[in-house]
Amino acid sequence: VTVLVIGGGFAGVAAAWALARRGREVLLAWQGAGASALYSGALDRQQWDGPPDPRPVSRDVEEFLQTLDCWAPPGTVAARLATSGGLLRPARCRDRALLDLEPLRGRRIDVVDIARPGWDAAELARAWSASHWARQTRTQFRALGVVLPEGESLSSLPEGELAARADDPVWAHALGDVLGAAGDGQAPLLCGPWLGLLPGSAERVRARARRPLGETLSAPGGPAGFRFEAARDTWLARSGVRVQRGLAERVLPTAGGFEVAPFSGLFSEVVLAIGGVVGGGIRFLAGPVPAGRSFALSLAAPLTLRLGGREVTLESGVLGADLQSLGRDAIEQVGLLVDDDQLTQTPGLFAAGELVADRPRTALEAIYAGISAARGACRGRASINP
Amino acid sequence: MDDSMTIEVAGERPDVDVVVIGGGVNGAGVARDCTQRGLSVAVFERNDIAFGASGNNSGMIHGGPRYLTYDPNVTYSSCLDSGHIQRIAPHLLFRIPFLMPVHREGRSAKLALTLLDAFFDLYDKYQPLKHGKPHARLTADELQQLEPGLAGRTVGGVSFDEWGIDGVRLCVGNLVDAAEAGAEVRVHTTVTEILRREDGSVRGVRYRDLLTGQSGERTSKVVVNATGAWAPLTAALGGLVADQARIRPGKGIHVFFDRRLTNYAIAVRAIDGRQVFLEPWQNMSVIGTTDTDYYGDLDDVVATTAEVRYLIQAVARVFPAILEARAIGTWAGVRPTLYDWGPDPDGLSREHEVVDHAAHGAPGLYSMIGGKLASYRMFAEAMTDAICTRFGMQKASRTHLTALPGGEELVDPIALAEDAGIEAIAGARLEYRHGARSLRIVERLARDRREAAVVCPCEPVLEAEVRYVIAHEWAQTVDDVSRRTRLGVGACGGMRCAARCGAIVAQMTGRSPLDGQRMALDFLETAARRRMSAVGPLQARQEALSLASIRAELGSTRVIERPSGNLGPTGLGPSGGPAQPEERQSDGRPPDRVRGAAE
Repeated sequence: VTVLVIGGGFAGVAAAWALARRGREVLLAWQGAGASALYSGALDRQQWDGPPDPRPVSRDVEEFLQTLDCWAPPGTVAARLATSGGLLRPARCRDRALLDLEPLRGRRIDVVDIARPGWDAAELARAWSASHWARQTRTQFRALGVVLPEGESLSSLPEGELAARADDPVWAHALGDVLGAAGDGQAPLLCGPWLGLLPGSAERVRARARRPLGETLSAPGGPAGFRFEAARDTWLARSGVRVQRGLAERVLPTAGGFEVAPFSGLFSEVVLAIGGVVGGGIRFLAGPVPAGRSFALSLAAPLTLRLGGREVTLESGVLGADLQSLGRDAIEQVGLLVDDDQLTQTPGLFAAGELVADRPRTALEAIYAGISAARGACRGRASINP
Repeated sequence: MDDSMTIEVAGERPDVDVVVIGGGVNGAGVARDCTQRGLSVAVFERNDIAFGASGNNSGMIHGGPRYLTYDPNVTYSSCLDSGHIQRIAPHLLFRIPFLMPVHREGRSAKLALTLLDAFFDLYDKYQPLKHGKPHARLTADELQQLEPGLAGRTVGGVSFDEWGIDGVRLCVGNLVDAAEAGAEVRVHTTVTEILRREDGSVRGVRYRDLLTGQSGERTSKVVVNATGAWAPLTAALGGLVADQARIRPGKGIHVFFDRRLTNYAIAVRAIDGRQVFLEPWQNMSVIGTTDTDYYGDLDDVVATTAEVRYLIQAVARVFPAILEARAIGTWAGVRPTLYDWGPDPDGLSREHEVVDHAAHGAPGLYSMIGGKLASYRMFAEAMTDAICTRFGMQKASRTHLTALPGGEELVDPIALAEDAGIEAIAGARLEYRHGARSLRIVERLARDRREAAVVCPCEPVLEAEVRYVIAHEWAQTVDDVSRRTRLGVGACGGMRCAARCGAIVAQMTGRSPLDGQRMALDFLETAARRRMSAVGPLQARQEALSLASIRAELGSTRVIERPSGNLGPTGLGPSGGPAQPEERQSDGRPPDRVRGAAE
């Protein structure tokens, strides 16, 4: 009896991990990259700009974060991360390559100043210094001119390629030496997302530099997402979880379990972690084709999407969905209704991550949901209360 | 010797000869013409340069073949002045060849084509005025060859020739020229009152800077109300009644797509028989336009889904690929057409009219009513002539002879890019917007190579250009920079450039980094709101991604406080404004993000 998990993002991988840990046989299937691969490196359960989240990180989530070797263990207080928008924002947890400013409060942070498009260290230092948290904690930021190994030639490299350099141990050492010697050699160093596409590269640079050192948040498509994917693939290779690439087309409940095209076999439970609108799990429908609904699942399944507490049913406009009247938020609220075990209205069919309605579209929430779905799948079949 | 002239000379020396209210194309044109004729000028713009119809139109100085049958004067003057504009700002013009297919509908399709052919024979007579090419009658096969995406059976069609232009750049050019000749230009500065003496004559204006909150007076001999659709509202500031500067406001919307979908513009008939079009415009394709009476907020005109679908449906009938294309935004403006009760909006005159409010007991106050982009220069000339007559001056306009800033000489964009060490596409776009002035922008790179950084990768826009338009073209917000440079207008909707641009604007205008972040959020929110009516399946994923990414970088756009009072488009209050994200969360106000269909 195999459980099928569809989706290789935070929710799917967390579900696969939790199922494997409970001794279940798992097939993890996915195709392409979704919101997880585009994340910033910060993990929160609720939106960071809302009220603070008082809930501690649960033991199993903490274990999962440790298993996938790219995140720092969650501390008792929130981390404080720098964004390239000039903000210092809290985060419940973070990618290890990012610099947590919380333990550095009150100190002077040197901002690595190299010639890069979009990286104006002086301006960023000014913005961060002026932010509420920095003023309150008397933390200061200052641009510090640094010449990286190979200097000039790097300024035209795309961000990802520059980051990839740090995966080369030789270059990482050279970078560590340069950064270690920069300025007074002591003050913490904040740099852009340049410290490797693989987990561990940042640590190598840091160990060589012998000073606190780390990145700002990544932009979508930046190194943080790559590092998650690399950590996932490393874990999968040793986990015993079977992996298959492919786009799920149809989930069909039968007497003996679920048939899921195009994957062969019969599955006792299915965890859908195919993402929301960003990941492509939910499609927004508009245009002249009389699709009938505003949103639809990307695969055929006996499930109904919900939006604003109601089922997504026939759209009254003849030309389909109208985001102006639905509101832009609809693309983040639409999803499936699930219970505490992430069980959908169909027994044996679970949903996690951005596919779930009215949950924050955050990394930690997806991980929680994936682990809950695994728990639900192990609990045996139960139906959701309508 | 006992009239108001005496008072003017003896008692009060006015600050300037002419106050122009409105930074649209008419106001900018008058400011330039007046300074060229030796008058001193001050311009006040409540929002931003080209904020209204001047920056939200079809982007053409077309000859108006539409008007040929019932308003040939408009066609003539439009074509003539189109030629003039081409001479004074050659860098701003680009050829837009049009195709007009005639579909095999009914028995008279062939006749319709013959009539169309004859009609364009007539239009060809005007083409030399604007250096346009004569039309050609095309067979169905020829049409298909030129634009393989055309659908439906046709009996053939015609081609004709128009000129495209960036209306914002045209306005900016006129104002820069005026300013270099001494004019004072204030944007984000609203006129709160048109000051009049006891005898009714005009003596200047009171204004308020919406960004700083500072107010003041500027006295003048003449006040020109060049506020387009706002004209009746502006006239009311001088105590006139709306009837005395009346327009019929006609809303027009456009939808733009992430790339150039065709090489030719295609003119098609909408379901109600109206003429609409799909045009390649700068680096994208645009469809337009509607014409409906508008009685909403002029400072916040937004295209609706219904309007967008009306246009897409019309274009899809002839060019079905539009249904698969990715719409990335809309713009909407309100035409200030001459007032007339009765005709449907398309039938309204595009003529213009100078109203001398001496007839209403307010000598010295003029309103510019009506007009269109293509004939702005003539309208400005007529207005300035009236002012000169009042002042007893006999100087003729030379605005059709002297180049606009950047139009003095042609610059080779490829050589420019090579010399500056920037991408050819960046050089070409820069040269388009600034003409010879692009040399001044790349000069900045020699002083600081870092300014070669690309701030907006979609357009692309260099940091040097962002800084240049802040320093030399009155840009004071991210929105202003976007209007002048097309920063953040592309497929990513500003997700990758707004924050950086906000930081630059804040730094250069002496504001805090927090102000910069707020401006960026405000820009992103406004752009998203304008996009919503056009978002289809392809753009929806980008919307979701940018929501997430903007929140990661800057916090939620939905928790920006908006000032309740009448404070400029940026929402930057004089008293510090809203709190920053870390502070916002502590006031206990829940972010408003659980608004759904059930509400």
